[in-house]
Amino acid sequence: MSAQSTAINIANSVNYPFAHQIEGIIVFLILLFTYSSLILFLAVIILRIRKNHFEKRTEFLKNKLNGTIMSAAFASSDDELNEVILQAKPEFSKNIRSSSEGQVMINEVLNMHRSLSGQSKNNLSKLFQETCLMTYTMRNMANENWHVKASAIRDLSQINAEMHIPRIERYAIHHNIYLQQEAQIALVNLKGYDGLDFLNKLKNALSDWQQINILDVLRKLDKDKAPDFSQWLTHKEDTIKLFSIRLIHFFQQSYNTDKLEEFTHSENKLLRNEAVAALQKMKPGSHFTIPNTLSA
Amino acid sequence: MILTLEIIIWIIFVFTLFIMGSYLALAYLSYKALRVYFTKNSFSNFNTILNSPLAPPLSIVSPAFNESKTIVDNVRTQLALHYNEYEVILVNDGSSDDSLQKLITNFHLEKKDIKIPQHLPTKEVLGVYKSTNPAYKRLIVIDKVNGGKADALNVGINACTTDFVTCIDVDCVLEQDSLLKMIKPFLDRTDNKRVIASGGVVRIANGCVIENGKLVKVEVPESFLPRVQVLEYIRAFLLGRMAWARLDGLLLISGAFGLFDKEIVIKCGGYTLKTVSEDMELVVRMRRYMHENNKPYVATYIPDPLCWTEVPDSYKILGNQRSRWSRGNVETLWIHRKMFFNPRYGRLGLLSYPYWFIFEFLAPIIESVGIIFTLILAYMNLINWNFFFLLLLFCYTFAILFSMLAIMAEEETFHEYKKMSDYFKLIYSVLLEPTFFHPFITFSAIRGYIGVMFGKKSWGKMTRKGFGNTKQESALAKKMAAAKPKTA
Repeated sequence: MSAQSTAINIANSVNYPFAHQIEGIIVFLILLFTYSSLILFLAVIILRIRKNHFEKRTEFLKNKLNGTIMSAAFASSDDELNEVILQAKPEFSKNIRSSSEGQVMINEVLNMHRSLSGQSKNNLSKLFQETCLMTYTMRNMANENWHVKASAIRDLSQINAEMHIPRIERYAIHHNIYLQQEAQIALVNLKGYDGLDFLNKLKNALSDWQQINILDVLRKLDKDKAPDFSQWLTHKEDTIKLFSIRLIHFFQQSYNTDKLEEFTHSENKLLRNEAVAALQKMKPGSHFTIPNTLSA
Repeated sequence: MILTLEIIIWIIFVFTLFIMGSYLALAYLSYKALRVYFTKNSFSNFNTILNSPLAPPLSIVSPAFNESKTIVDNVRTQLALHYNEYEVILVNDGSSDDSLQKLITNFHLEKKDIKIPQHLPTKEVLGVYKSTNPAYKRLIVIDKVNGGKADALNVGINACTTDFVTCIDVDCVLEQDSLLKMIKPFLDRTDNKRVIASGGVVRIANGCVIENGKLVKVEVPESFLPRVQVLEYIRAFLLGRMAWARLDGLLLISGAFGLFDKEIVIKCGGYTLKTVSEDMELVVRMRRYMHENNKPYVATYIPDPLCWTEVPDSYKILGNQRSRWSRGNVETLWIHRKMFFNPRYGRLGLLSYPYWFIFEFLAPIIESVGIIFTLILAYMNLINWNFFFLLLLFCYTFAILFSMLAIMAEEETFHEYKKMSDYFKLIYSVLLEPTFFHPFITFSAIRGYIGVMFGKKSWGKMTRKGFGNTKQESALAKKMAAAKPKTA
């Protein structure tokens, strides 16, 4: 034992002057790393407890307020609906304690709204608009964070809150691309084909993702009332021209094939290929072919 | 003498500080990138792609070599993914078992006279098979002469008829919406940058319950080695690649699951046969090609857990795997050595490549030199033991902190391991990893470097046990348990 401690003492007597200077820093960093790890360890546990609590609370809220939502959806007369809404107002205000709980209930109403049609759908819209759910949505709309605002736009769109179209319209060409996209989808959803007017003012590109989303709303509308989509074939932005070709193709506007033929010589490969693909479908037997870019 | 020793100690110490600093910086960037990803995608309804006529068609290419026991289930899983228009191209890389016969029988295949374009040079194709059953119209099976994984992937790329190609390992379990999520970055751009590749997170399936090729329950593996690899994968994918994608310096998209722009893949020559790390090499070459041709581009990365794979649970197999990975790293770095600190390649040349070289390639060497150096000093009685243990504790506590950051990132984002007991199992692994696992990985990397010096080229044997679970063993797991070693 004494031999061992002698050996260690000899070793410790090796003097590295530079090393001694940083001993204090290393001890500090060890403590910092250790305490940070401990904090993270506890933070994960707290996070899990909070998540569990929120899930339980969400479940409780859904169970508690679901009856009211159902009663409103299936109210057989205006009087019955008004009665339900009158009771729902204090009930919702009392039980929904925070904006995150408010969002849970907004989503709950919207989910049901999506799955219903006719009078029940209108009843839920009225319930939404006359209770604190609308207050939460409008509060989100005024929020400075773009993603909260975008979420509110989506909620307004889904509940068919047409009176808020002017507020949404101003975001359709907003500099924040995500906010812009949400507003554009909302406008098409609320105004139908007229909602596409934002394309005339749009100066930035319309991504494929956004085109997919807009088309997803458009395809639910009456095809016979579709406007002449060739109006955007002369747009300055190529992606909007591309969208226009795709819409002409999807809505089979065969009266526009001559205009599409002009694009078969376009310098833009995407426009050229899209026009050719559209013409191949709309003009069977036509001689248009997509060049093989790999061998070109 | 003391002065010389001190200079060496300081070089190693400064190197260590740089590594630690870079890890923390990457963790910080990853947190930011994850936050941005979640905020942006909280609005994304991926099902819109599923129903859209504007969604681009894509191809899944999976190479298979002697996968007879599992191949039918795996193909069925791929055919059941959620996407509206895609083709599954399975390339049988000269299997010596009855893989092809099983495919022919189960999917009613018949040989067709289809000529595959030779965009990329490959070994001879023996036959192209398609199903007579319309239910399997998406499936194309190609039988070819054995040429290795890269060659098989190249045949699949030649055969695919779409603009986007996803290359996956046939034994991986994909989330059903994985294609929807992977294609989105290609659709989402509003600038003029072309998305050339998109990578997905690979998670560990050991310990999870998998039924009929679908992941139904996620749990932390019971045995130590796979559990430590869970930590390792979370760190690498959530705290590493996420940050590199944000920095636009991503060098590696896992071969287990990646989606590529086919035109660029072909223009830069496809997968190379010169390295065992063909996945990393392809991404580096694609990026290099875009730089050299002055084409604006981006390689993206999805943090969602989309692909689940089984990892080795024995030291022997793990050692072989890591040795192969480090060989692949060296080979890729050597092939693209021109990029080292070359401003022509932007961040790729000035940041990603040097980082990979210094902290991924050199780290195991410096660590090993450090250990040998310490042993020599100890033998010569030249160690100040107090300071030695202080430094050891310094490195150990940092390793713990970094793993805790990774766990926190996982908790805040995907929260895949829901049981509290899983959390404590991970913590237990966090504490043990630096003592047992890390030295072993370093040793395996050094073995890989030695392998490169002696011109080793083979993949080595990679045995998979199958997605077994003590509670419920799936049909797939039972079949996989009997799978033969895969060599290519």
